[in-house]
Amino acid sequence: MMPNDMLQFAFFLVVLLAASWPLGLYMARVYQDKPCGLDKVLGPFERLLYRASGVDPQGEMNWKTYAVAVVLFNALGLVATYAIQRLQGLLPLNPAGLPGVDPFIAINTAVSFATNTNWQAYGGETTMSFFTQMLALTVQNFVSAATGMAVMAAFIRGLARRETDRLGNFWRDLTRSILYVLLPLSVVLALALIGQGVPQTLDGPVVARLVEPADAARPTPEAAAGALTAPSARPGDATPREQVIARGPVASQAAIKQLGTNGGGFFNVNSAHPFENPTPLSNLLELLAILLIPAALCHTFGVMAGDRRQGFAVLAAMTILFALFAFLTIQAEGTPNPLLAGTGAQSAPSLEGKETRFGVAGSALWAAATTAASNGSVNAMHDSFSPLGGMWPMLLMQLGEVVYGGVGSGLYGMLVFAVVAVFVAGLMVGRTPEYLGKKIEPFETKMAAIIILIPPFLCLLGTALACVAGPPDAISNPGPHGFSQILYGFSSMGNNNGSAFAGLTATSPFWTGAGAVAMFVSRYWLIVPVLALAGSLAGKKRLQDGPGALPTHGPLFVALLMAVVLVVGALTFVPALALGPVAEHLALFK
Amino acid sequence: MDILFIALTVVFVLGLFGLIEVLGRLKGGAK
Repeated sequence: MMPNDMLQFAFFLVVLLAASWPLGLYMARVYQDKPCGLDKVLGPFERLLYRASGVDPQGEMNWKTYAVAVVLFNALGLVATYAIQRLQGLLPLNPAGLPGVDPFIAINTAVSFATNTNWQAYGGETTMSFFTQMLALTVQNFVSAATGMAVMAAFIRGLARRETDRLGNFWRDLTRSILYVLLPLSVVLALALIGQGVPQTLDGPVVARLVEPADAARPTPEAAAGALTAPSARPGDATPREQVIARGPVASQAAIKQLGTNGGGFFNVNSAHPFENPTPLSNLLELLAILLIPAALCHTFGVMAGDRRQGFAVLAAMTILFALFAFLTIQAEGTPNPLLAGTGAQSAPSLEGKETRFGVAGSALWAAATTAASNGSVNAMHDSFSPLGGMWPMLLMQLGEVVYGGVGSGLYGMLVFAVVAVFVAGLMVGRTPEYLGKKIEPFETKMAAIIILIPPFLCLLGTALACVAGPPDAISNPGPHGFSQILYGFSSMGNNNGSAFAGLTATSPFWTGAGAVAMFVSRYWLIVPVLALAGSLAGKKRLQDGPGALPTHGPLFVALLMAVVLVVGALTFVPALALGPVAEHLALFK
Repeated sequence: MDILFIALTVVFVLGLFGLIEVLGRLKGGAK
């Protein structure tokens, strides 16, 4: 790792951790219904929303009612997102005249955005109208992120409250997450991105005349991808002379896609596109936005649980794991490709698939952050990374998206690992395990096992099915790298991440259908047991810490928590990784 | 395909309600 890379990495971590503290305290006030400052401005609007929708914001829900509200609300969003895509040809704000979206792609996209995955089996600028981008996809960016935050708030209440079955009110948590957290931060970030040159317009694409017409006999990659065929091109003229340059309401979508750990992007190549992420400063801002809320929620947890040290302990475990994997990814990408030996470029770091304006550190750090959080937007093509450079981000997803993780979902996922950690510790010393004074009994352990095992099951089953029955032309490389593309795809969808190895073509009915099932199950079949676990914990007494209890705010617990996360992930995925990136690495560096 | 999507959504949502019910009974039995 070069000193400059180290400096970028350290600066990013310091700014992230510094910014997470005040935001975490602020969000604790939001979820505890305390004055937070913005309520003076937005409070009347919040109350108007409750009145208009007939919601009693003070009505508390038990875990079942909370889960039913989550499921029904998300099902409605799913259907609305699908319908808008299918009908976009008849709807306004469609200056490019795009037709309705293919049904398989529409199903995949609707599930993808409702589940906060944002896996994109389409090119945004050539498939989705502005209406779809704004009212289907961006709306889902807000509400799917807020759903995760609401479930997290309910889970923390389950840990903090005693002898009750009340976990809060889903509608209130949802509304307050959007109004007081996601919306204000998105406005600030969108304005900052516009300042850096990101477009925000409802005008259609512009057509530029090429300085040097493309040679039809030697098509460039851009021509092959259809980017050089202008609507005004003369019929029968095989030589493209004009280029269509897509633009639209990019900044507003880019802001929430990062803050809500949604991922994806207005453009097909996400934040590698110069209109979505034009400068090193916009790169830093977007990178910070990916991890800011998930990191800050650890402090929110500490405050709501009544012991800030608990939040610091979880944040420490997440940060150490993230730093380790980010370091390994940057290190792998800074290692020259041995096949370039003797070409004069053997000492250079690998720049294939990367934007030169970001370089190795900016690309590798993004890859680690976007897979550590359940974000999934990219600023470089992970398929072009070195075998190990691609493996570390893949493993970050396979750990269950708990190293910061998605907004809300990352924290409740890590707290479930904490339940398993105290269970393991309890087995070792022969005591009934406790977490935050709550006894962990068979029901809680069963729920934790379900929550932790479902995503790996989906990843490995999906990968096996794709290898046996998937379309063989979906992968661009045979052998270990092709296997990595498949494994990465299902690791991404099965953990609601959404990033992709660029070499995988996932537009066939198999991939769109199987992917939709994986994304749906990994989101909602986890949320329901998480809420059941919260409901069970809320009903328990809170015991005083005895001399034999394992302190869950110290370095020993942080180490145990990290070990549980790593051991579960490693035991589950190392055999599969050995067939893909490890085999490719050994073949390359033999 | 549109009808199939609606049907699948209904099936998956009913499946989730079933999961909520099963976990509710499991939790009740654990007490």
